[in-house]
Amino acid sequence: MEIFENKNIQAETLLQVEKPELISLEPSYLRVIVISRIISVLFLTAILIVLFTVIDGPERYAALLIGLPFLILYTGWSLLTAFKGFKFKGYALRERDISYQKGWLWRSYTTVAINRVQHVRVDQGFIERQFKLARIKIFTAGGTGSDITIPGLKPQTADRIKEFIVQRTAHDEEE
Amino acid sequence: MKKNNLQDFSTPTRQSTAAIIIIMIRFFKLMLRQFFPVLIILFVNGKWAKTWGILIALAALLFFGIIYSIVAFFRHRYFIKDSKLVVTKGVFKKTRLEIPLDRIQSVNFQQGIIHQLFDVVKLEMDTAGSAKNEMELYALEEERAQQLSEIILSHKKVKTNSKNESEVPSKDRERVFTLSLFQLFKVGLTENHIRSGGVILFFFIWVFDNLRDLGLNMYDRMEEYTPEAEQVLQNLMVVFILIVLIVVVSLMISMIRTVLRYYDLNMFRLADGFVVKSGLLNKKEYAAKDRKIQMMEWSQNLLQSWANIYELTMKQASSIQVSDKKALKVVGLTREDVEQTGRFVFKKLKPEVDALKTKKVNGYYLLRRVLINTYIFAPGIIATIYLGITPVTLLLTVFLCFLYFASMLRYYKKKYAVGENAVIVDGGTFGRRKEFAEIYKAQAVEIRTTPFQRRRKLATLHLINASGSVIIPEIPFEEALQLRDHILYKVESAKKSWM
Repeated sequence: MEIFENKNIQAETLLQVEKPELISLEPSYLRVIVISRIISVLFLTAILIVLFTVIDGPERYAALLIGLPFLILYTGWSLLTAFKGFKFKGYALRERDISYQKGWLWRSYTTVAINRVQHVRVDQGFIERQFKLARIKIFTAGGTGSDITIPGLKPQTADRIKEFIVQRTAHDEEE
Repeated sequence: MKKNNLQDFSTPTRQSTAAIIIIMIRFFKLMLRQFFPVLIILFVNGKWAKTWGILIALAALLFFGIIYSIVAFFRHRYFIKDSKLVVTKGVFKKTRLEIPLDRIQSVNFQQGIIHQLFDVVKLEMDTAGSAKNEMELYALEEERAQQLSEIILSHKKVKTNSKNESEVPSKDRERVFTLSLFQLFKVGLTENHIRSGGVILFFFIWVFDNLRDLGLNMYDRMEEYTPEAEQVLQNLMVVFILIVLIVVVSLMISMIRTVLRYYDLNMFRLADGFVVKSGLLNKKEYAAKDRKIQMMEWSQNLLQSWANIYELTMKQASSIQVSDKKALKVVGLTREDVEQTGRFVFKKLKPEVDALKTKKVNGYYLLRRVLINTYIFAPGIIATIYLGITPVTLLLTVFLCFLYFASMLRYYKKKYAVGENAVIVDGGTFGRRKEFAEIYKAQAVEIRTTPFQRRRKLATLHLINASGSVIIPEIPFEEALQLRDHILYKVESAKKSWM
């Protein structure tokens, strides 16, 4: 019976989940993360500069006094988490589910059952395109709690995963 | 019109003529909402009586509204064709809506005062995946509405029946629970008054602000006429009266809201779902299929626990925005009612659920809260001691102790059990809450850890389904992994439809 077949696969692949031997994301994705963080830092810097020029009187220095440490902290933190966190990003695809792990300090490991997937989408942001990377978004019913996005994939890989999931769900529906 | 039995839905049919009035009211409501700011301005300026133009415009609008409603009524037709519900409508632009019957998730009935006057009901049809009810039929004769909803829902049943649900479909409704007047009164008294209070407070502030805008500054007046000592006393009196007023009015509002919403509440068991019916002026009837119900929750807040009544919430698949609407809520349950409803809710799982032994979560759950509270308040307390502001120190200390106490209650109430097919999580701080979810309806499992949890080899497990998530906090990491594998196994090997 089908159920037993599933169990075999589970038993074999469980180990992979327990000791997360995840498949890492493409190394070049780290650069995408860093670039997008730098962009957000630049954006904040621009806001600070605008504030500094718009406000006149001694308050402008107060704005700087509060804004600058915040900006430095934010920059440090976002770059630190970008590098540290990248090591923990990864995904695992099994026959009946797909998992994504992320987070350096606050770590989460989400597994979505493929027979609960509603639809799958492959996306490519502007920066990602420059590095020839893509992300796969997996949607389930209801809220966004159980949706996952796996970034930093080669477009071919993303397409293949998408194909696989779509096939599996179609297969499930036939039964 | 045919009498009784099998009405014809295959030919395009208009709604009940009462729909004209209902469409008209909707139209004018919409207009009123759109033009409300304009009306206010006109009213405040006091110009409106003088200007004929505006009166003429209003008359035109009225005329147009009536014509519009009548045309809209005659243009609106609905029928069933090829297992699809088809609605054609539109005054200026013709639209044709088609919804396959098996995509309709649920059919809800509503009866406002006007509906009740004409003995018609409004039908709302929910389709999966959209935040809005895609299709509404404003006014159908009750008989027709009943039959239409049966056709839609039974269409669904035929499909699922072929799988493994072998219950005999029957039209009989079995009454599970009826809210008595006395219980209704209790529910009103134990409502969350803070919410009502908030509304009042907001209202007062709004009125006060508006008065000031109109040049009536209460404070200025008072200051003008009263000597200072008296003024302080008077201010205190004002504050006191305001508080009493707010409390009384909050209570009244809660009471009125409760009666309006829950009057004559009845819960029925159908062959494959529940129906909840209630309302005084606006009667609503919500139905949920067993398959659709993702989570059940029994709860009571502090006041409710004193009054010994419970609430039952049935959560259906939904996106966050509509979760409130799609939850079926039954209030004023007694302890026995909880038992009784449980029997209907758990069904075959009842023996399993009864046998489940709930476990406490790790003590770190308590420790974490205590530490966080301490980190937040300790600096303040130390600072106030240093500055010698004893009353503030006392206040902060008392508040901190209160938080410790709350954390402790929370810890002692947090319990969980994962069985073969069901998950139960108990919780609550001053009140009490019990969540129940069937495992196979889960869509995803998430294991979360913080650095502190990892040091203690703990984890938090989220079982996520289409209506939200059941969270089991602070359990041993190894156990979390086992639970995850068990849940995934149940989900991935499930053949039953889960939504």
